[in-house]
Amino acid sequence: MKAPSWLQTLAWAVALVGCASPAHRPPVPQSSAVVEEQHPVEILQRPDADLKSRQDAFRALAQRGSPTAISALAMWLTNDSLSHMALYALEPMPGDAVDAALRDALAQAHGRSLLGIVTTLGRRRDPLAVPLLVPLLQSQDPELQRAAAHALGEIGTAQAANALWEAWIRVEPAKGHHLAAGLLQAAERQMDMGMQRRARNIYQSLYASTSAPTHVRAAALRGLLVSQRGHNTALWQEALHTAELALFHAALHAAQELPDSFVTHALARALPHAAPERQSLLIQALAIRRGPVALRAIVSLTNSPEAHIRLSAVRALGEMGDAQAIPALLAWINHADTDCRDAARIALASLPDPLADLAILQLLDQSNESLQLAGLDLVHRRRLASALPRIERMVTSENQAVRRAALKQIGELGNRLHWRMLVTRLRQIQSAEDLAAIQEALLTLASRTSTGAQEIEVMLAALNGATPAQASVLYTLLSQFGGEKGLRMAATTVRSGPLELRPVAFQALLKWRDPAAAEVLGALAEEAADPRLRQDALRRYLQWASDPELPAERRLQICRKAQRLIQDPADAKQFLAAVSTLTTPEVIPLARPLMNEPATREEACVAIVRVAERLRTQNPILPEPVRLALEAVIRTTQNAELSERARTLQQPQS
Amino acid sequence: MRELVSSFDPYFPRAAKPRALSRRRFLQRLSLTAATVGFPMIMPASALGRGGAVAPSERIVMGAIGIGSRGLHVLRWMLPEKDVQFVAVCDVKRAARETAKQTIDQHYGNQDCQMYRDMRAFLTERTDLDAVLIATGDRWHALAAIWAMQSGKDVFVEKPSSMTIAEGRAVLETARRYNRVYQTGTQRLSEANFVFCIEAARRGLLGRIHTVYAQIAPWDKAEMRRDWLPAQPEPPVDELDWDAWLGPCPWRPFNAEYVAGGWRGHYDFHTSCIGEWGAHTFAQAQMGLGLENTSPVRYHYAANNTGDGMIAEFANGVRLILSRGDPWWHGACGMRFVGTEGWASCADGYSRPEVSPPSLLSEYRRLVSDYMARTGRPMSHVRDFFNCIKSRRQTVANAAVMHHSMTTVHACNICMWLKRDLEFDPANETFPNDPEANRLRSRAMRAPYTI
Repeated sequence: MKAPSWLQTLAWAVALVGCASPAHRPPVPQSSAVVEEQHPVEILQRPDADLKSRQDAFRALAQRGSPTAISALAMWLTNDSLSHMALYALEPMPGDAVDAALRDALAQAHGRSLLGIVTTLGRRRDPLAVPLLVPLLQSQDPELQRAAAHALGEIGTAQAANALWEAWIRVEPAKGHHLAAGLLQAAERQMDMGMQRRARNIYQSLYASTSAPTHVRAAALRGLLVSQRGHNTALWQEALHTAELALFHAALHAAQELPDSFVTHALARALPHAAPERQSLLIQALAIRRGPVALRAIVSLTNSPEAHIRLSAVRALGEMGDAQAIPALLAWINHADTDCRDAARIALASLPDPLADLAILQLLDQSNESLQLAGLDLVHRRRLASALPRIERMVTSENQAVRRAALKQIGELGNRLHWRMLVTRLRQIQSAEDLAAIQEALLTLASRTSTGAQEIEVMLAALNGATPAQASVLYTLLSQFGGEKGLRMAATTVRSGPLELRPVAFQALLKWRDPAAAEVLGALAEEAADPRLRQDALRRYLQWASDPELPAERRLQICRKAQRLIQDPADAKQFLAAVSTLTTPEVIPLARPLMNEPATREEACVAIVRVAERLRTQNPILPEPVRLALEAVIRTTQNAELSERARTLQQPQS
Repeated sequence: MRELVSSFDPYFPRAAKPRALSRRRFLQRLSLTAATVGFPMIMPASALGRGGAVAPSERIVMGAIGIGSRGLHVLRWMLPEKDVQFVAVCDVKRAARETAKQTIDQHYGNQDCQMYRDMRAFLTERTDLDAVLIATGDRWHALAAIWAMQSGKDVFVEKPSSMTIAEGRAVLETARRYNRVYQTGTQRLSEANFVFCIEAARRGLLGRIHTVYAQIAPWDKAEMRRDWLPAQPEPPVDELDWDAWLGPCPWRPFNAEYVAGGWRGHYDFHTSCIGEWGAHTFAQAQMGLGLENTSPVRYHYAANNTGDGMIAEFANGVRLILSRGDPWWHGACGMRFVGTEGWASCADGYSRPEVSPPSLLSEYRRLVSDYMARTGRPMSHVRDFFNCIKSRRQTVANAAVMHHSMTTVHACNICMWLKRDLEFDPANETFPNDPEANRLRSRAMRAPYTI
C-alpha cells in the first residue's frame, strides 16, 4: 500500500535523524534534494525513456533519492535488464521502507534479479528477511544458495546463524563452502552484537568439523582464538602443535591480532619443542611481539644446531631492536658462519639504542685485529661518526687491512678537516695499496663534502718533494677537482718538471675533467718532443672535440687544429669520428680530403653523410658544398646502404 | 661540471665508453652504489636450500587473474623467483589468456599452464593454488581478491585495492577471517628511495611533520565520465566475455575502447586522477606519518576539476595536500614530507631522494638498512609477498594499510564529487551527519558478481 507523500517525507526525516551521531550535530543542508529527485523518478515512470536515461535516473536516486522514490524504483526490481540498477539506487538508501520493498519483490524475482535482491537484503542486514532467505539455502541453483548463505551471514542474527548451521550439518562439507562462509560471517556479526558465546559455538563447531575444508577450519580456529582473547591454554597448545600446517598458520595469524602477553608465553613455550621449519615461523612471530619473554626465547635459539634456525634467530634479534640482545649479537659478529655473522652485524648496526654505539666503539679499542675490523664494518653500517677519533688512530695500524678499512671510513664519515690529515698521511707512505686506499678515501670525501680552493692548495703544496707514486695520487685528485692553478702546474711539470714526475703529470692531463685541459693537450700534440706523447695528447684532444658538453664552435676549432696534426690512419679515423658529431657545413672541407685516402675513405663518407643528415633536419635545402660532397660519397663509397642514404639526402624533401 | 674519469685509455674509442656522467649524476650514483651494496638479503639462496633451487613441494604455486599489460609486467617480475611456480591463468579475454600462458610456458620450457575464462570456476577448481596474482581492471580488484581469499588463496592484487570504502572494508575483513596474506601492488613501499623518505619522517629526522604532499595523476580529472561510448556488437563470449568484464559494475553496451584501456576516467571503472596515483602516494604518505591505520578527518574541497591543492587533515592536525606535482617533483608518484627541521621528497626516477638539509642523505644507507633489519622486509615488493606467504606475517601493503589509505582516496573523491568540505569519522568509517556523502561509501554490485 502506498503511503501518503507527507508521511513518506516524515519517514525520510526520521531516517535522517536516525543517522545522526551522538553529538546531535545538525545535518549538512541538502540542496534542493526533493526537487532533484522528481526528474529521475519521472524518467523511470516514462515508458519511452531510453536505457541510458534510466540508468542515469537510477544513479541520481542512488545519491539523493528519498522514500518518495521507493515505489518508482521498486517497480524495476524484477526487471531483467535493470533490476541491478534499482538495487544500485536502493541499497545505499536508508530506511525500513527500502527493506520492505526488497522483501516484497523477493517472491516475484528470479534469476539474476533474485540473486541481486538477496545480496542487497544481506548488505542491508535486514533481520526481517531471514525467514524469506532461509528456504533459498535449499535452492537447486548454487549461485542462489551462495547468495542466501552470504546474506544470512551478513545479517548474522541467531535465527540466521541457526538456519545456516542446520543447513551445514545436512550437507557434505566439501559442497558447503558457501554455508561455512556464511557461518563465519555470522559469527563475526554475533561478536559485534555482543553474543560472544554464540559466536564461539559457531567457531568451535566448524573447527571440530574434521570433514570441513582446511581453510574453513583454519578460519574457525583463528576466530576461536581471537574471540577468547588468547586465554585458552589448551587451545593454543593444540593449535601450535597441530600436524596441520594451515591450522598452525591460523594460530600465527591470530597471534598477530592479539598483543596479550599470554600469547607471547604460549609461543615461547612452543618454540623449543617445535619442528625446525616451524621454529623459524615461531621466531618471526615472537620477534614482532618483542619483550623479554620473546627475547629470551629467541636468544636461546641462536645456538640451535640447525643453521637456518640460528640465522632466523639472529635476524629476529635485529627486528626486535632491543639493547638486551647486544651480548648475543656480539657473539656472532666474527663467526665462521658468514650468514649469521652478516646478520648479526646488520642487526647490531640497526639497534636504536646508544648502548649499541658503545659496544661498537669498544670493538675498536680491542687489540684483536679481526674484532677491530668487525668494529670498523659496524661503524660503516651504522655511520657512526663518533668513532672518528678512534679511526684516525687506526690509520697508522700495523695491520694493513685495519689501516685500509680505517682510511675508507674516514672517507665515508670524515669532514673537510680530514682532507689535510689524509694528504699529510699520503706523504708519509710509499705502499701502493695504502696510496690507493688514501686516493679512494679522498675521492669519497670529496664526493661528500664540497672540495674548494683550500683543499686544492693542500694538494699543490704536497706535490713539493712527493715521490712519483705519491705525486700520481695527487695529480689524479687534481685532475678531478683541479682548476686553473693545478692545470698550470701539471702542464709545467710535463714540459719541464723532474723527469720522473713528467709521466704522472701527463696521465693526469689525460684524465683532466675541465675542458681547459684541451688547449694544453693541443699544444702538447703539436710541440712535444716525444712522438708517443704527441700521439696520446692528440687522441685525448680529439676526444674533447667529440664532447657534447663543449660548445660546437670550440669543438670545430679543435677539429681544425687537429687536422694539421694527424699522423696516421688511426688518428684520422678518430678525427673523422669527432668531425661527424658536428652539425655545420664547415666540417665538410675537413673531412673531404680524407675520402681520397684508401685507409679512411669509408669513414670519411660516413662522416659526411652523418653531418648532412643532421643538417637536413635543420634545413630542407643542403648547402652546395654538402651536396657536392654527397655526390662524391655516392661515387666513392663501397657501402650500398650509405650510398642510398646519400642519394636520399640529395632528393628534395617532401 | 665534467665527468670524473677514473682511467683513460687513449686507444679506446670514445664512443664505446660508458655514457658521460655529470658530476651530480656521478655523485648520486656513487652514493647509490654505496647504499645498495651490502644490504641484507632477507631470503638468501642458502636459506632456501640447494643453492637456490627449490623443491617442488616447497614452491609457492600460483595462478594469475586478469593479465593485460600491467599483469604481464608483474608476472615477469614474479616469474624469476625460484620458489614460485605459475600453473594457471584466468582472463575474460582470450588473447590475454593465451599471451599469459605463452609467457609462463616459455619461462618454464613446457606447455603446462592451464587457461580459464571463468573466475569462479578457476578459483573453485584450482585447489592446488597457494596464491594468485590479480591484475584485472580496477573494478574487479576487491571482488576478485575476496573470492580468492574465500577459497583459501593468498593474494597479490594490483592497486587500487578497492573502488569504495565498503569494498575496502570487505577485503580487510575477508583477509582477517581467512588468515590470508594479502599484498597490493603499491611497490614503492618496497623501494629504497621511498622507504628512506618514509623512515626519515617516521623517525623524526625532519622534526615534527606538519605537512605531507602526495602526488595525484597530472593527466586526468577528479570529475569522472558518466557517458557511454557508442554501442558496438559484442564479440563472441570466448573472445571476450563482456558481461564478466563488466563484473560488479552496472551493465552498459560493449565498446572495444573500454577493453583497450579506455575504461580509465569512467566513474564505474576508475577512481579518478586522485586514485590513479593516490593509491600509491597516500599509502606512502600515511606510512611516513605513522598514520597507516587511520584516515584524515577533514577534507577541504579544492575548487578545480582535478583536486590539485586539496587538503585532507588528520586528527592530529597534520595536513595531506594533493598535488599534481609541478612545484614538487620531477617524476611520478611523488611524495614530500615537510617537518619543522627539514623536508624529504622523492618520486620515480630519482637516483636519490631530495632532502633538506642535504646532510640528511648521509643517513640514507643507514635508514634503509635499519628498516630492512627491523622489519625483515626486502627492497622487493614481490619478494616481500612471497616471504610473508612463508612466514604468515603481514605484508608491507597489507589489507589494513591499503584499506585506510584507499579510504582517504575515496573520501577525497567524494569531497570533489559533492563539491564541498567533508568531515569523516575513521573509526566508524562514516561521514557524520552527512547522508549524501555516506551513500557514496558503497555501490551495489551487479549479481552474480557480488561478495
